Amino acid sequence: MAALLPLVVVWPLAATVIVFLSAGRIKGRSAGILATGAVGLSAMTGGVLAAGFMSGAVTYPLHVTLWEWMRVPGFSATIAFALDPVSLVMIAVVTIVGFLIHLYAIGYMAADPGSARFFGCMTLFVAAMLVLVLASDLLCLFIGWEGVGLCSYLLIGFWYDSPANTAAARKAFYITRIGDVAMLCGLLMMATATASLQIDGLLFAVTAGQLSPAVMTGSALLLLTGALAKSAQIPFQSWLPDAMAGPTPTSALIHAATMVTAGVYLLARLHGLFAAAAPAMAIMAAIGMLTLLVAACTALVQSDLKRILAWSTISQLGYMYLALGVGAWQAALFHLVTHACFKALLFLCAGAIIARVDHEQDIFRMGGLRRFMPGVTAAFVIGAGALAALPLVTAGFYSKEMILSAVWRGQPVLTPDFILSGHLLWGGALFGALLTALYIFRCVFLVFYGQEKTVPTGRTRWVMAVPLGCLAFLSVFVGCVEMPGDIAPVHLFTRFVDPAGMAFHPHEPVWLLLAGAITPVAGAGIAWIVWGRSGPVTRTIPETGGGTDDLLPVMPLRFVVRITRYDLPDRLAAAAGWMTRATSRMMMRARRAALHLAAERTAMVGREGTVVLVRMQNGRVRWYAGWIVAGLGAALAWAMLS
Amino acid sequence: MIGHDIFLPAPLPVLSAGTMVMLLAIAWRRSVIRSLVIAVVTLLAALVSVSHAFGTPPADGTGLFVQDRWAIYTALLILLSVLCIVFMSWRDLVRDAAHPTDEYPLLMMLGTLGATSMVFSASYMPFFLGVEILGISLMGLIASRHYRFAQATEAAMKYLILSGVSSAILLFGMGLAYGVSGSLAFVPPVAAAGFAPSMAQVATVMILAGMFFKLSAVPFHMWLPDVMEGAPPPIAAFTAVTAKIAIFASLVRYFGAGPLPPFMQGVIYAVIILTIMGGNLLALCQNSLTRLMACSSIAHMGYLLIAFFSPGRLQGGAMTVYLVAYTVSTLGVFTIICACAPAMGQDGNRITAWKGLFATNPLPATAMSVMLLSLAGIPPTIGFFAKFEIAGTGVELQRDVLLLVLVIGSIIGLYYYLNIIRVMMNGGVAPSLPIARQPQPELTALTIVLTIIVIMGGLFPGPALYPLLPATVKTMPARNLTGTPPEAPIMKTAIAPPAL
Repeated sequence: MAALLPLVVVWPLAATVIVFLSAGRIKGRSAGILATGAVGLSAMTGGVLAAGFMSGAVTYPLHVTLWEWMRVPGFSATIAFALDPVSLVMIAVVTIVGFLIHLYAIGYMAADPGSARFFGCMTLFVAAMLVLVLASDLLCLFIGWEGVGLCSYLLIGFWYDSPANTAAARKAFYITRIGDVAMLCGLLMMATATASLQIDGLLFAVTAGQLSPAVMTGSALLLLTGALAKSAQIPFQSWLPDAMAGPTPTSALIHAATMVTAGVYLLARLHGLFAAAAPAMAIMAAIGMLTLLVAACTALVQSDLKRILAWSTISQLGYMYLALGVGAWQAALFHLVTHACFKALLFLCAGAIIARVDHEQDIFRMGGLRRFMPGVTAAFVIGAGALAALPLVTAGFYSKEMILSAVWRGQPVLTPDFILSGHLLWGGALFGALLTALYIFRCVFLVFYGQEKTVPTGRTRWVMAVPLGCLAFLSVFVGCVEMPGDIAPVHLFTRFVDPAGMAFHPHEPVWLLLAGAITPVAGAGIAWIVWGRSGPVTRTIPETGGGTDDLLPVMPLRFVVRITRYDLPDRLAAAAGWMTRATSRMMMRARRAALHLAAERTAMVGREGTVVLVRMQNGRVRWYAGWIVAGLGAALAWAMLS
Repeated sequence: MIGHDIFLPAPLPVLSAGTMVMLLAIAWRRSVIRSLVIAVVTLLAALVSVSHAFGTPPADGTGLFVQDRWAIYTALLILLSVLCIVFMSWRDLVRDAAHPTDEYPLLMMLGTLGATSMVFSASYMPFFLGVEILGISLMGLIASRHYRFAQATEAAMKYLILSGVSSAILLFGMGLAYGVSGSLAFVPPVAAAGFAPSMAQVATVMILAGMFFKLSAVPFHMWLPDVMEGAPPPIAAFTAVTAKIAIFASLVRYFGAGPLPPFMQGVIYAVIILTIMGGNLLALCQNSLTRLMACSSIAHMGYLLIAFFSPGRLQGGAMTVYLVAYTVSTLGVFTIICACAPAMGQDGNRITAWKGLFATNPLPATAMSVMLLSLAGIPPTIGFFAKFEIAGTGVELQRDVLLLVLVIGSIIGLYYYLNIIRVMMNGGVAPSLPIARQPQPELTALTIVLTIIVIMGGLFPGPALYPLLPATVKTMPARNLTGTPPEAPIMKTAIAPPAL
């Protein structure tokens, strides 16, 4: 059984090696089938492992040490995998969702000349992500972490002919790189303190109190920075919307389902360390809160379908960080799973739509599509419902409910004097849920209802339709593994990932549950009133300037429209933009004062040094001999005089 | 002393016998292939016999030769690298029917004999003979190219003259050493009674300067880029690898793996800094690949000198691993140059000729990238561990300035190594010539083997490298005319703070 564990990684890696070494001899379709098959094999291997796990044939945690990479006095690093419930859940997400997305991509990328390269990068990504997930040593995890960053860069810039795409790729790479550096610093800090980066050993050292609080808080903050950059949380949020320049399957797999959640996984894995670093937890919760609100507001005023989904991803990741910040890592993990399903579904639907409306991404230029593509519409609505957390019938409801109830009880402690109020955070999160329902149903009503503006062409092929169906099924039913106690006492998920933990959802006021259930419905209702009824104004392409006031008789709705269209988010965005600009100006000045000078000096030293050396290297033997003698003289003088 | 205690490590007579056989064969009838086969057989025989010896080492350690783990290890490295270089040159020599050059394998055998003699030597005599045999045969080899004759001759002349200067310095140092200590033992001299101690110091510094010339440490480095550019690529590899291994092994043997005498610390400190910075800065603006490799070789010698200068627990391992990494990576680069050169003109020297190699010839391009990454010290390759160990020696003894220079040098290095990869990936313009796919199985095989070594060494450094460790160095006991007890230990254990 233990021998199966490395195989999970080996399959996709082998596919990558074959595709890349064939140097274009394997054509797109075959490469797609090969890649999909490899990821499928990986999923099956994971399934066998899971079965062994359930039946008790394997005891966890299952450790497989592949080899010892290095050992020097004071530090050792091994390349080792470990399988425990948390990583099993992640394997399932990565391989199953990955498999479906690969299958979809066979159809989606069929016409692209570079699709072999695409599949090579995608399988490499899956392999790297699995390394990240399975690593039992933080150094090994870091290898996977860098690997997924690299693949993200390669895939965002997949259509490298357009400068905008390569710029987006570079932006993503640079911004996540800042986080990577912080993370590496955190790792080194822990390595110097504990002489190893074994996760188990590290957590043991934390619980045994071998680490000083300063080291723990410092390294926790540095790791948090790395995770935030990977997950595009404030202040690193700007790369993810631009990353939509990549092919849609990439957006679905990397920038929605898996890579951006790597930070959540890391923090969930190291929850013992973070539990001991209270300020880091409070900062995490605050950033999650802020991000989920800001990103939801921004999603409300976007007009590009993929960008709406990108902002929505950032917002949902904010929920996960909020849950991590209040210590409910199980809830974060659960939301990660459901989010992977429904957000992948939404992206794949968006891809199917965009492919059929002549690569139009502006939702205001779509409309009435439900009459042409009922299947995709149904899938998108299911995904939207899950994202908005419509009560009872969607997976998103259960995971979001779990987060909300955990946040209600949470008490993140920033400093002993300053404790964030869980109730306040809960209120924010609930408002976020309202905004979520609002923006995604705005999208639904604008794209699928009303009068058609672009007439779709072609058909959605079955290789693309099957994944949509599967993901829609998952988006509905995956939530059934964990339910609030008031509805049905099903706690399979928390029992599975955290057998020793206490039961979630203790007895709490029913109105909490009701509030969580009603808010999304209310949001969807408002969206219907504003955008669903064929009101001509809200459906037109927005221009800067007013013009809606006299057409909307009801004051609150006018307020909502004003919020969504122009005013408040615009002001907020403008204020944030102004602050960012001011900060960056200040940074710029500081850099000019210090860094710029240093850089210039370094360049100058390099230039001058080269010039001097090249001048010495003039090809004349007598000069060479002269230098030898001069060197000898200098050495003799130094040795004699010292 | 010579007559009664013959102790001879077996590779030396084997190589001499092979050379003799080859000479006889050439006198009888010229045939390049036969000479090459004889060379390969001789090298294999020498490899097999590398840990054997004739006679027993004298009990008091007064022989001409010594055979310890360090000597065996470096001799192995030399023989294997020469084997690689023979295979690298094979195709050029065999195809060049109009101009049979039997002298090429012959000189290569002689050079190998010289290099091997250097690493086994326990006395000035075999060391100096080795240096000269190596140097003179290298001169012939450098000039062996009959096309672009002028450059080759110029390079050979430069090497001859400058090598003469440095040999003179070396020999003068040895003479002084013999004069003040009355001994030819291969250790820093200790002045006998009645001689000024400073004379011994002058002798040591002069010998050191001679060795630095061969090692191409700055400011004695200038011959290397010119010579390597003029030489054919396999000979450039021979200069950069085999000769360097031999002289570095001798340097370590001479001063022993221990603290250096205090009066030399400042000099060595300065030379290391100059070498690393000089080599890297010089490489920054090169547009010829061979020159760039020469400059990078200078810089790598600087890194090696850090290990030499930092006697600690990690020293032996660092030197051992770094020599392997440097040898394999450099040989790999030159193998790929040999493989790709015919289609590029100018021996593949111009870096611009490598443009678009990833598109036209992915396998060599990938292998080349791996080798360059290894030279730059990027993780999945053996070069990372080598540099890691070097840095480890520096950290152990807290040579902070040297570590800083190491880091800066590596950063500069990244620029020019990655630049080559960038050029190879840049397929915007079609390469000047479509690369003809000539059958060259030996070069392909060599490339693959070296690539595998580089990657395996980076992934599994433990199993791959630990068997080599630790290569202990036996220091020759110091002796002098009067037979008084050696004073060397006093000199060696006095650890003075570094001069910088």
